[in-house]
Amino acid sequence: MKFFSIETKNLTKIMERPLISDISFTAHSGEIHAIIGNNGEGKTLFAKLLAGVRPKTSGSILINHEPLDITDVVSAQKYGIYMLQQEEVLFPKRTVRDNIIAGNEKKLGLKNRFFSPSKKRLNQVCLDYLKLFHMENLDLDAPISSFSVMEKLVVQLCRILICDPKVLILDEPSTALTTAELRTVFDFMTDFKQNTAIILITHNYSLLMRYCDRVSVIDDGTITASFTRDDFTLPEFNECITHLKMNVKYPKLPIIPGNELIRFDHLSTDLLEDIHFSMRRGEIIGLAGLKTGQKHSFLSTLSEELMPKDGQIIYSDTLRRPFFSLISGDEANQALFMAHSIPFNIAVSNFQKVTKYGLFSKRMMKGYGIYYLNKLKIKDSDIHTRTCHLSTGTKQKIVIARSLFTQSNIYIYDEPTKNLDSTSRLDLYNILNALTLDGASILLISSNNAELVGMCSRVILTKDGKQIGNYSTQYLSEEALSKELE
Amino acid sequence: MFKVERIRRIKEILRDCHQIEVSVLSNLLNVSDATIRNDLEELEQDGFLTRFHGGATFNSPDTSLSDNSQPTMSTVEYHKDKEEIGIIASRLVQEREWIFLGPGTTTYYIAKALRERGQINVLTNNFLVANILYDVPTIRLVFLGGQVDHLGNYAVPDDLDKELQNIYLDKAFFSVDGVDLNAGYTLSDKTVFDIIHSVMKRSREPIMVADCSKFEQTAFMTIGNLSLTPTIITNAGIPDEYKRYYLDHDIRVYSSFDLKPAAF
Repeated sequence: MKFFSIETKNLTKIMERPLISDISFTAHSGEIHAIIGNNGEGKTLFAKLLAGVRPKTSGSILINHEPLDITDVVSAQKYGIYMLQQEEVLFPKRTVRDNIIAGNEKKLGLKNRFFSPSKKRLNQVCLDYLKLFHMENLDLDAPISSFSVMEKLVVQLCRILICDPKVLILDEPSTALTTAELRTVFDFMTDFKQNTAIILITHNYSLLMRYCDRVSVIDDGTITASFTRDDFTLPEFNECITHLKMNVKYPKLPIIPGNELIRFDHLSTDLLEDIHFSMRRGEIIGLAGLKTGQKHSFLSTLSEELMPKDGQIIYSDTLRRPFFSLISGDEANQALFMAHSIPFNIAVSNFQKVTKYGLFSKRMMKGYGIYYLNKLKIKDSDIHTRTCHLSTGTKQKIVIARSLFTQSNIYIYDEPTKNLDSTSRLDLYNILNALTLDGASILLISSNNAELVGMCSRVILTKDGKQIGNYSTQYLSEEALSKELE
Repeated sequence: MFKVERIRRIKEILRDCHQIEVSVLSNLLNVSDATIRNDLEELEQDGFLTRFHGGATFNSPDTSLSDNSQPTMSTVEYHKDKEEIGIIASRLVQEREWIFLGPGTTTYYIAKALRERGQINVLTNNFLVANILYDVPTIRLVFLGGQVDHLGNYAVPDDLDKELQNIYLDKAFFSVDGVDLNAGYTLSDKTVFDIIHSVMKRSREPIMVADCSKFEQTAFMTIGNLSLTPTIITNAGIPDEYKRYYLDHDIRVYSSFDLKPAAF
């Protein structure tokens, strides 16, 4: 394919205030072009304008200097612009095959006027694409909802690849993937970029250094700087990156542990084996090495959805299950009620708190909404903003606010810092501290080893679902932890 | 709201603001005036407060303690942000460590939070700190004497460097009068400036404590830029630029979060 470039000229989006102002940006075929920036600065919105998901206010989008007429997703796709959204766009109950093929029958030349294509032919197509990611063993007849994040992501990618995109926009694909999974995806992208312009939105800086050819920094709705690969050694670039990077000095508090709140007594489930540790008041405990399915199994057991195969969970103080507060590792989109207001989404974890004389009080709900928006410094929206229009970082903050609203004793946070920029991350760590000072106990499930060593007093290590260690972080370095998990 | 919970809240509120009206309380707690009056009556019998027409005042809980201390000492105005900072700071102090608490009221709150701890050695020149800690048997207190600064409630030794010559400290807590991105940490007192400079040389880990009202303020003289100390303890409300500055310069930031919303 010929060399081409996609350009934007003075692209602007104005809602109540300008969200994207005057962006002039160029991406070429054969390049992975990264867009980086803090939460709520407009990275995702910019991508959505390109892909036609949201309409632009003014400015133009051009391919090879030809202006395009993009009004919606379909018209953008006509020009070959496809976006892999951060949200899952899948039919959860349908099979893998259906999810890959859906809507693409014509493009594959599979559909003639009389017969629907044979299953064999469809399977072949699916396998051809899955093979690109070494996933040809996937069960094509299983419903998509039973697969891991990585597999779901690949299925969505395959669906786009069938359409032979000219411009491929990836919005934060890295958050829920492990390092090895990322490598698979991006090794493919390095080959694939020859005929495509790939635009990547990310917070993952190792990814950036390794795979990207060009980097643009977005700040307050406009592009403030742009670097090519040769510039990566320049001090200006370094300054820019450290400005955004997560080199947080972790504000760890030496703990004074209180009495035991919960003990996992040689717990085994379908996917886990011999999990054995206890959590005390005022402690932050890390849990490392769990895969998506195992995490799910662990959390379901905790919520008594699943009976343990062996062992038990013991709650001190009371025999009953205490109040939990949970942030799941799922994308915030799945955890939020998109059609409801922000205060509703916060208060939903404990509606009893917003009742007065047994009646639901909208005023109280709003009051709490404003309180938490202020506490978490959510600046790009107020309580009247529609939940579905929030940026991803803000959505994550709403999920955090919801978990704080319950005011429970035990908090279970699964990847709470994903999609957060450095200052919000710092705030979250200090919130964890504030919770422990109040006598709560926190279980932090994370794939970020530095975070585990930096914030937790002890880290529980698991491998293939089996507990292989319970270390105090006083004697555990980040390197040692990654080595153990290898 | 149950009665026990209500009483607990009333006590909390009174401790915060010392004096309150019945109508305000009933609004805050969402119950009728009559209920509040009953509760106050009960609390008065317990000696917790004194009622007056339409309200109540708090009886200081440490009446037995403050009897033998100077009355001027205990008049540190209540400051919630500083109290929260004090709690975090006290957690950073580990057993058997030698710490220094500098002049100011923020360090007074650190001392207050340290009262519940034991096996700690404290060096201070702050009368407020000494007043709080002198009767705790498990805390060793060394007072740095000298000329007294009446307004600031601290003493200044004549020859600081000589006094500190053979001393080595694990942690030193300082507070300043202003924190500003351009001006750095600023002070209005030359004597405090000298103290901080001398003590800092003698301590392994200097820690800055500054509540959020100090931010974007400048005072008379600069003691250094914001990367002067590797650790700062502050409140959640500080502007984002400052957090970013601290992150960029590898400075550890502890900030207190008050996560208990008032009842709406």
